[in-house]
Amino acid sequence: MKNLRLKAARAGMDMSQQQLADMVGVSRQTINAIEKGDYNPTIKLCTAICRALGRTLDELFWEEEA
Amino acid sequence: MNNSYLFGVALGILVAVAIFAVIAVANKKRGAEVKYDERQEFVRGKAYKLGFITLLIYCVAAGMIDLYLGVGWCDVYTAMMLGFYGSVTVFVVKCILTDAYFAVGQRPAGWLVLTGAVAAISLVVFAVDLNDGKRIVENGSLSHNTINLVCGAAFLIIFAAMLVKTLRDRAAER
Repeated sequence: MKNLRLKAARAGMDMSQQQLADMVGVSRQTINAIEKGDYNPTIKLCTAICRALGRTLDELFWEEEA
Repeated sequence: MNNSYLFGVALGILVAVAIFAVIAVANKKRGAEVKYDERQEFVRGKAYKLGFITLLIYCVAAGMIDLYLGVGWCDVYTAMMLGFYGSVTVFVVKCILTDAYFAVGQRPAGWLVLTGAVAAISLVVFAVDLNDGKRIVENGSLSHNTINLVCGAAFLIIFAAMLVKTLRDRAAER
Protein backbone atom coordinates (compact mmCIF):
# COMPACT_ATOMS: atom_id res chain seq x y z
CA MET A 1 0.00 0.00 0.00
CA LYS A 2 1.36 3.41 -0.98
CA ASN A 3 2.41 5.71 1.84
CA LEU A 4 0.90 8.95 0.59
CA ARG A 5 1.15 10.56 4.05
CA LEU A 6 4.92 10.23 3.99
CA LYS A 7 5.08 11.65 0.48
CA ALA A 8 2.81 14.54 1.44
CA ALA A 9 4.81 15.31 4.60
CA ARG A 10 8.07 15.32 2.63
CA ALA A 11 6.63 17.47 -0.15
CA GLY A 12 5.11 19.76 2.48
CA MET A 13 8.61 20.51 3.75
CA ASP A 14 9.75 21.10 0.15
CA MET A 15 12.18 18.22 0.50
CA SER A 16 13.29 15.85 -2.27
CA GLN A 17 13.58 12.09 -1.81
CA GLN A 18 17.37 12.47 -1.99
CA GLN A 19 17.42 15.12 0.74
CA LEU A 20 15.30 12.97 3.06
CA ALA A 21 17.45 9.94 2.22
CA ASP A 22 20.63 11.87 3.10
CA MET A 23 19.11 13.00 6.41
CA VAL A 24 18.22 9.48 7.52
CA GLY A 25 21.27 7.75 5.96
CA VAL A 26 19.62 5.56 3.33
CA SER A 27 19.55 5.53 -0.47
CA ARG A 28 17.03 7.58 -2.47
CA GLN A 29 15.63 4.34 -3.87
CA THR A 30 14.78 3.15 -0.35
CA ILE A 31 12.70 6.28 0.34
CA ASN A 32 11.04 5.79 -3.05
CA ALA A 33 10.29 2.13 -2.21
CA ILE A 34 8.72 3.11 1.14
CA GLU A 35 6.54 5.77 -0.49
CA LYS A 36 5.44 3.32 -3.18
CA GLY A 37 4.68 0.67 -0.57
CA ASP A 38 7.26 -1.73 -2.01
CA TYR A 39 9.29 -1.88 1.20
CA ASN A 40 8.17 -2.11 4.82
CA PRO A 41 10.77 -0.21 6.91
CA THR A 42 11.99 -1.23 10.35
CA ILE A 43 10.87 0.76 13.40
CA LYS A 44 14.38 2.25 13.56
CA LEU A 45 14.08 3.75 10.07
CA CYS A 46 10.47 4.83 10.69
CA THR A 47 11.51 6.84 13.76
CA ALA A 48 14.46 8.37 11.88
CA ILE A 49 12.09 9.50 9.10
CA CYS A 50 9.60 10.86 11.65
CA ARG A 51 12.35 12.88 13.37
CA ALA A 52 13.57 14.24 10.02
CA LEU A 53 10.05 15.33 9.04
CA GLY A 54 8.96 16.46 12.51
CA ARG A 55 6.02 14.06 12.60
CA THR A 56 4.94 11.19 14.83
CA LEU A 57 4.85 7.48 13.96
CA ASP A 58 1.06 7.58 14.08
CA GLU A 59 0.90 10.45 11.61
CA LEU A 60 3.13 8.80 9.03
CA PHE A 61 2.92 5.05 9.49
CA TRP A 62 -0.16 3.98 11.47
CA GLU A 63 -2.81 2.34 9.33
CA GLU A 64 -6.40 2.17 10.60
CA GLU A 65 -8.09 -1.14 9.88
CA ALA A 66 -10.82 -0.84 7.28
CA MET B 1 46.79 -26.41 -19.25
CA ASN B 2 50.46 -25.41 -19.13
CA ASN B 3 52.46 -23.64 -16.43
CA SER B 4 52.48 -20.28 -18.23
CA TYR B 5 48.65 -20.34 -18.31
CA LEU B 6 48.47 -21.08 -14.57
CA PHE B 7 51.02 -18.35 -13.93
CA GLY B 8 48.85 -15.94 -15.94
CA VAL B 9 45.76 -16.88 -13.91
CA ALA B 10 47.63 -16.40 -10.62
CA LEU B 11 49.00 -13.05 -11.81
CA GLY B 12 45.50 -11.93 -12.87
CA ILE B 13 44.09 -12.80 -9.45
CA LEU B 14 46.94 -10.96 -7.71
CA VAL B 15 46.42 -7.83 -9.86
CA ALA B 16 42.65 -7.88 -9.16
CA VAL B 17 43.25 -8.24 -5.39
CA ALA B 18 45.83 -5.40 -5.51
CA ILE B 19 43.39 -3.09 -7.39
CA PHE B 20 40.60 -3.78 -4.89
CA ALA B 21 42.98 -3.24 -1.97
CA VAL B 22 44.10 0.13 -3.38
CA ILE B 23 40.46 1.20 -3.92
CA ALA B 24 39.51 0.08 -0.40
CA VAL B 25 42.43 1.97 1.21
CA ALA B 26 41.67 5.10 -0.88
CA ASN B 27 38.00 4.97 0.14
CA LYS B 28 38.95 4.56 3.81
CA LYS B 29 41.30 7.55 3.66
CA ARG B 30 38.58 9.69 2.03
CA GLY B 31 36.15 8.51 4.68
CA ALA B 32 33.91 7.07 1.97
CA GLU B 33 32.69 4.07 3.92
CA VAL B 34 30.78 1.43 1.95
CA LYS B 35 27.44 1.23 3.74
CA TYR B 36 24.25 -0.47 2.64
CA ASP B 37 20.94 0.57 4.16
CA GLU B 38 18.46 -1.92 5.65
CA ARG B 39 16.45 -2.40 2.43
CA GLN B 40 19.65 -2.98 0.46
CA GLU B 41 20.92 -5.55 3.01
CA PHE B 42 17.57 -7.35 2.77
CA VAL B 43 17.59 -7.37 -1.04
CA ARG B 44 21.24 -8.45 -1.15
CA GLY B 45 20.30 -11.41 1.05
CA LYS B 46 17.68 -12.43 -1.50
CA ALA B 47 20.20 -11.97 -4.31
CA TYR B 48 22.75 -14.18 -2.46
CA LYS B 49 20.06 -16.85 -2.21
CA LEU B 50 19.33 -16.62 -5.93
CA GLY B 51 23.05 -16.84 -6.77
CA PHE B 52 23.44 -19.82 -4.42
CA ILE B 53 20.46 -21.66 -5.94
CA THR B 54 21.83 -20.96 -9.42
CA LEU B 55 25.15 -22.52 -8.40
CA LEU B 56 23.40 -25.55 -6.87
CA ILE B 57 21.33 -26.15 -10.00
CA TYR B 58 24.41 -25.75 -12.17
CA CYS B 59 26.47 -28.17 -10.03
CA VAL B 60 23.74 -30.82 -10.09
CA ALA B 61 23.17 -30.42 -13.84
CA ALA B 62 26.90 -30.49 -14.65
CA GLY B 63 27.44 -33.51 -12.39
CA MET B 64 24.47 -35.40 -13.83
CA ILE B 65 25.60 -34.87 -17.41
CA ASP B 66 29.08 -36.11 -16.54
CA LEU B 67 27.98 -39.02 -14.34
CA TYR B 68 24.95 -40.49 -16.07
CA LEU B 69 25.48 -39.62 -19.69
CA GLY B 70 29.19 -40.33 -19.53
CA VAL B 71 29.88 -37.20 -21.48
CA GLY B 72 32.96 -35.28 -20.38
CA TRP B 73 31.53 -32.02 -21.63
CA CYS B 74 34.34 -29.84 -20.23
CA ASP B 75 37.45 -29.96 -18.05
CA VAL B 76 37.21 -29.43 -14.28
CA TYR B 77 38.76 -25.94 -14.28
CA THR B 78 36.39 -24.70 -17.00
CA ALA B 79 33.38 -26.23 -15.25
CA MET B 80 34.35 -24.49 -11.99
CA MET B 81 34.75 -21.10 -13.70
CA LEU B 82 31.45 -21.47 -15.57
CA GLY B 83 29.63 -22.05 -12.27
CA PHE B 84 31.48 -19.16 -10.64
CA TYR B 85 30.69 -16.63 -13.37
CA GLY B 86 27.10 -17.83 -13.73
CA SER B 87 26.18 -17.53 -10.06
CA VAL B 88 28.08 -14.27 -9.50
CA THR B 89 26.39 -12.72 -12.55
CA VAL B 90 22.95 -13.70 -11.24
CA PHE B 91 23.77 -12.15 -7.83
CA VAL B 92 25.19 -8.91 -9.26
CA VAL B 93 22.42 -8.36 -11.83
CA LYS B 94 19.71 -8.99 -9.22
CA CYS B 95 21.42 -6.46 -6.90
CA ILE B 96 21.77 -3.88 -9.67
CA LEU B 97 18.15 -4.15 -10.79
CA THR B 98 16.89 -3.79 -7.21
CA ASP B 99 19.13 -0.82 -6.31
CA ALA B 100 21.22 -2.82 -3.88
CA TYR B 101 24.57 -3.11 -5.66
CA PHE B 102 25.92 0.36 -5.01
CA ALA B 103 26.23 1.49 -1.41
CA VAL B 104 24.52 4.61 -0.06
CA GLY B 105 26.00 7.64 -1.84
CA GLN B 106 28.12 5.54 -4.21
CA ARG B 107 28.14 6.57 -7.89
CA PRO B 108 28.02 3.94 -10.65
CA ALA B 109 30.10 5.85 -13.24
CA GLY B 110 33.49 4.41 -12.23
CA TRP B 111 32.11 0.87 -12.02
CA LEU B 112 30.48 1.26 -15.44
CA VAL B 113 33.87 2.08 -16.97
CA LEU B 114 35.59 -0.75 -15.06
CA THR B 115 33.08 -3.46 -16.02
CA GLY B 116 33.02 -2.26 -19.64
CA ALA B 117 36.82 -2.38 -19.75
CA VAL B 118 36.99 -5.89 -18.23
CA ALA B 119 34.36 -7.14 -20.72
CA ALA B 120 36.23 -5.60 -23.66
CA ILE B 121 39.65 -6.92 -22.56
CA SER B 122 38.30 -10.46 -21.99
CA LEU B 123 36.57 -10.57 -25.37
CA VAL B 124 39.63 -9.18 -27.16
CA VAL B 125 41.89 -11.77 -25.47
CA PHE B 126 39.40 -14.49 -26.50
CA ALA B 127 39.46 -13.24 -30.12
CA VAL B 128 43.27 -13.12 -30.14
CA ASP B 129 43.40 -16.69 -28.78
CA LEU B 130 41.07 -17.88 -31.54
CA ASN B 131 43.22 -16.11 -34.09
CA ASP B 132 46.28 -17.88 -32.67
CA GLY B 133 44.63 -21.22 -33.40
CA LYS B 134 43.40 -22.05 -29.88
CA ARG B 135 40.17 -24.01 -29.92
CA ILE B 136 36.95 -23.77 -27.91
CA VAL B 137 36.34 -27.51 -28.16
CA GLU B 138 39.26 -29.88 -27.66
CA ASN B 139 38.87 -33.67 -27.79
CA GLY B 140 35.09 -33.33 -27.77
CA SER B 141 34.81 -31.15 -24.65
CA LEU B 142 34.90 -27.44 -23.84
CA SER B 143 38.45 -26.29 -23.19
CA HIS B 144 39.69 -23.61 -20.78
CA ASN B 145 40.02 -21.29 -23.80
CA THR B 146 36.30 -20.55 -23.35
CA ILE B 147 36.85 -18.89 -19.96
CA ASN B 148 37.72 -15.49 -21.45
CA LEU B 149 34.54 -15.67 -23.51
CA VAL B 150 32.45 -16.54 -20.44
CA CYS B 151 34.16 -13.81 -18.39
CA GLY B 152 33.59 -11.27 -21.18
CA ALA B 153 29.94 -12.29 -21.54
CA ALA B 154 29.36 -12.09 -17.76
CA PHE B 155 30.88 -8.61 -17.50
CA LEU B 156 28.99 -7.51 -20.63
CA ILE B 157 25.69 -8.58 -19.02
CA ILE B 158 26.64 -6.74 -15.80
CA PHE B 159 27.68 -3.67 -17.82
CA ALA B 160 24.37 -3.70 -19.72
CA ALA B 161 22.37 -4.04 -16.49
CA MET B 162 24.28 -1.12 -14.90
CA LEU B 163 23.82 1.04 -18.01
CA VAL B 164 20.07 0.37 -18.27
CA LYS B 165 19.55 1.00 -14.54
CA THR B 166 21.61 4.19 -14.57
CA LEU B 167 19.71 5.59 -17.57
CA ARG B 168 16.35 4.64 -16.02
CA ASP B 169 17.28 6.28 -12.71
CA ARG B 170 18.36 9.47 -14.46
CA ALA B 171 15.08 9.60 -16.36
CA ALA B 172 13.13 9.02 -13.12
CA GLU B 173 15.05 11.76 -11.28
CA ARG B 174 14.13 14.24 -14.03
